[in-house]
Amino acid sequence: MSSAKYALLGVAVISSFFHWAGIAVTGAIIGFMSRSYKRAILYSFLFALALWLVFLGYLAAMGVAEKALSFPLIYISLALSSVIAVVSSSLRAFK
Amino acid sequence: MRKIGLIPLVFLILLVYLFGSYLNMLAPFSGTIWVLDGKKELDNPYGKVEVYYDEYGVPHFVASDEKALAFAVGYIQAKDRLFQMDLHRRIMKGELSEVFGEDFYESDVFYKKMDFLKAAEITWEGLKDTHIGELLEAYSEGVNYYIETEKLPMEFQLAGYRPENWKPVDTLLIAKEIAWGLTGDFWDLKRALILEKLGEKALELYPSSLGHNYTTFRPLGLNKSFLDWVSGFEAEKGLGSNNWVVSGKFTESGKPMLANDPHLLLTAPPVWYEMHINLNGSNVRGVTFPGIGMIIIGKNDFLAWGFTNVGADVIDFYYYVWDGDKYLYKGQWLEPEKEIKKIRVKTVGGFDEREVLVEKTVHGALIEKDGFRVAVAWTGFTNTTEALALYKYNYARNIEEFIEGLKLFCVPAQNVVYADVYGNTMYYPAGKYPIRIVDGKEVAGNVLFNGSAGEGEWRGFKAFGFSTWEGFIPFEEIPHAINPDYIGTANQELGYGKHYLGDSMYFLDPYRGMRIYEMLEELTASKKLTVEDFMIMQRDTKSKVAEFFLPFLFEAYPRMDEKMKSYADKLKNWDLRMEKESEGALIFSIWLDHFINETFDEFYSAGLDPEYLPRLYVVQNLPPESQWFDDKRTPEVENRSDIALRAFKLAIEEIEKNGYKKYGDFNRLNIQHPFSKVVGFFNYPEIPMSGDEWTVFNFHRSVNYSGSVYQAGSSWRMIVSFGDDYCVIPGGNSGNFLSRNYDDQLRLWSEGKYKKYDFKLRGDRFVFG
Repeated sequence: MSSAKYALLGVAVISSFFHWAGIAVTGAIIGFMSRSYKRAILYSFLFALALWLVFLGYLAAMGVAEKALSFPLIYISLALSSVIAVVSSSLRAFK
Repeated sequence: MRKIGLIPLVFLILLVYLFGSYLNMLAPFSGTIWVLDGKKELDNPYGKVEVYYDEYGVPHFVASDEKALAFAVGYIQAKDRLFQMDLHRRIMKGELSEVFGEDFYESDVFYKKMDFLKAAEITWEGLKDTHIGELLEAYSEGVNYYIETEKLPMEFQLAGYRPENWKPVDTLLIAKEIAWGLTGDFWDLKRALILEKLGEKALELYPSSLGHNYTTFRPLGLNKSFLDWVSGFEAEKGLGSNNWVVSGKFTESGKPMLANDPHLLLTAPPVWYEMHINLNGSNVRGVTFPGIGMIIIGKNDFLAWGFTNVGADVIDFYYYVWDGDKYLYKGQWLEPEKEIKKIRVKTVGGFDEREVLVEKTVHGALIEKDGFRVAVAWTGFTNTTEALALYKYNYARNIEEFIEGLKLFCVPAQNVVYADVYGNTMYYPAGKYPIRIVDGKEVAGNVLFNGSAGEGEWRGFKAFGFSTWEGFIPFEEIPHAINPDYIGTANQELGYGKHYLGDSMYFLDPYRGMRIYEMLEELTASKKLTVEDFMIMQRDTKSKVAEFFLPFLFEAYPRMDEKMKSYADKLKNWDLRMEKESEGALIFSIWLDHFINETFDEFYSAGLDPEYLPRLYVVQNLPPESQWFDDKRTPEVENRSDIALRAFKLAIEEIEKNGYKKYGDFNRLNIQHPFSKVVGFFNYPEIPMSGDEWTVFNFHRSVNYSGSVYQAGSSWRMIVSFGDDYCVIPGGNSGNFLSRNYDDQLRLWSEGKYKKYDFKLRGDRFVFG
């Protein structure tokens, strides 16, 4: 795969820190870059999970991770970002 | 293959359409709900201000310009407590149902009819051209700068609305709310209903400090449904406070010392917001209510001050002779001033706009329910000057300057204790106290007045207008003490006989006051006091109530069976301290509840709720054979000992049924957030608690207010020694659930521990300018 694709993926990943649309775009790029549907779904889910774990790390650095984990909406946050990334990755069907 | 791609695309579009707003709110990092820090360099049109957030989230403001400071305080309070600020102005404006729906419509009707907004507007009229007016404007601009430029607190997102811009009138509305919460008491009407239901024999339960016989019941068509309605919105019942001040003659440092803990509702976030201001090198630190930019209780470089509520009767009710739509007033038929106000009610299908008729007579707001109509005069319904008073307190440098502030304090009248670095101490119950005249004689205000005859009017008072106060107790005549050796207040009667200030139901039981004086007398007689002594006093859980009431139970000891005796023996060996680990405290507390309920069964039979019951001190002093101990449902004539025994049996059953082992199993802290009925995560953790409503270490397990059950207790503990000072609030300074300062003081507070209360600048730095 060309370095341009990786650059594009990098920009998309960074943008997902600033807007949820970045999660969708990253998921779609992962889908297009994957060799199969199975891998597209797995990698996009792992991306969403990694993003959420980095976010938890940030909350830990702010001293509120324990409190955040007692907060139901943090898990809805994981569920929503995973679903949007996985559904976006399945756009590889256009490939 | 490409056609197949349309399926996930359609699914993605559907997902975004349905859940886009949730993604906006909850996406990791970018979700609007994750308000964690915010910008640290901020604009301020009035100049530079530095803000340091310390380890407890207390902001320390450093400024050289007052308007710049007010702007920064507005911004920072909004950052930490915007939802709470908006919620309270909505309560007072009657705008809750617009956001929270039909359940709050009755509350909105009451607050619209009382027209607190008009009272705040008239107060603003008197302030807007003053220096304080400029500061209120700058404070509001700071709040609005936050609303316009930052993520809103998560409560707004969960409730689905944006707050309107803040106005100076909103700050004054918050002040009116505090005043109403401490003085808006419908006791006069309840008293009339008790007399109607139980007859004049009930008067012995509610002694008047004046003993005037104007209190004879007259049938007025007063109904309980009216009282049930207004009761939901009146002052919080039984809430009090402690403060005391000790002269340097009795302290180890030789400087005076002061302690204060006001008892208010315990909420998440707390009712108080702590802050420190350094203006041109002068410090003032303490607590305020979110929405108010000045310190209400605190200390500065020169002095410290603390409040307890006086509880005086500053509200009266007037009935009229009506002819259709007109009321008779001193021989003239007048039409009430009328205004149609609108309430927007959130419904399933959108919004419903309803009209409320707001009426006023010459005396005040006219309220009506189920055919009973009465006008309400309240000292807060006029241009009051608490904002000017607080400003003077904050920046006073000596006792003379502080007294200038006291003169401006109108409502709620407060028992102010004061100490300064020069060694002065003071006690002054500052506020406006009305004098009622009927037929040329001063009378008590605990009755309904004949408004048509002009009875009981307050000279110099104009509801919803500008008052001149000449018919009120002159400031100099208010009983006070300059440089007392020591003095303690706990909402007990003032011991002032010249004018009526309220009957026994306006003032609280004297038990905390007794215990404070008992401790002060013991300590000053045996040693020089230190900060640690004051901490021990604030942590004191010894029950004077138990000391006085347990002998009633022990009278019945010979008639107890073996099981009862084993429980009674535990009480005999108990140290009378309401400690969470104590079994004696558990047994006593549950027995006392049953003893009161069993004594006053006649009240319940007459449909009168527990809030109509007399003070405990009155019950304590009833003779053993008093008619109130007789259960009218039985052929026998019961006395105090019979009722004590019966209550004890019920208490043991309750303890065993619930499996309680110690007081903390029953007496639990459970502080709730306004959203607690919808989601539980905002609530503070549940903790076993020591103390009760009559101990100095104060905790009310259950308080009915505005139709909901709350807990109440020491809402701020402060000890000032002009050396090492200490404080704590029940929860945390931040209203942001995800902040480390959301509930970081809760354990300290529940265990009677403290944090440092100093002027040292430290922590995260924000810069305005």
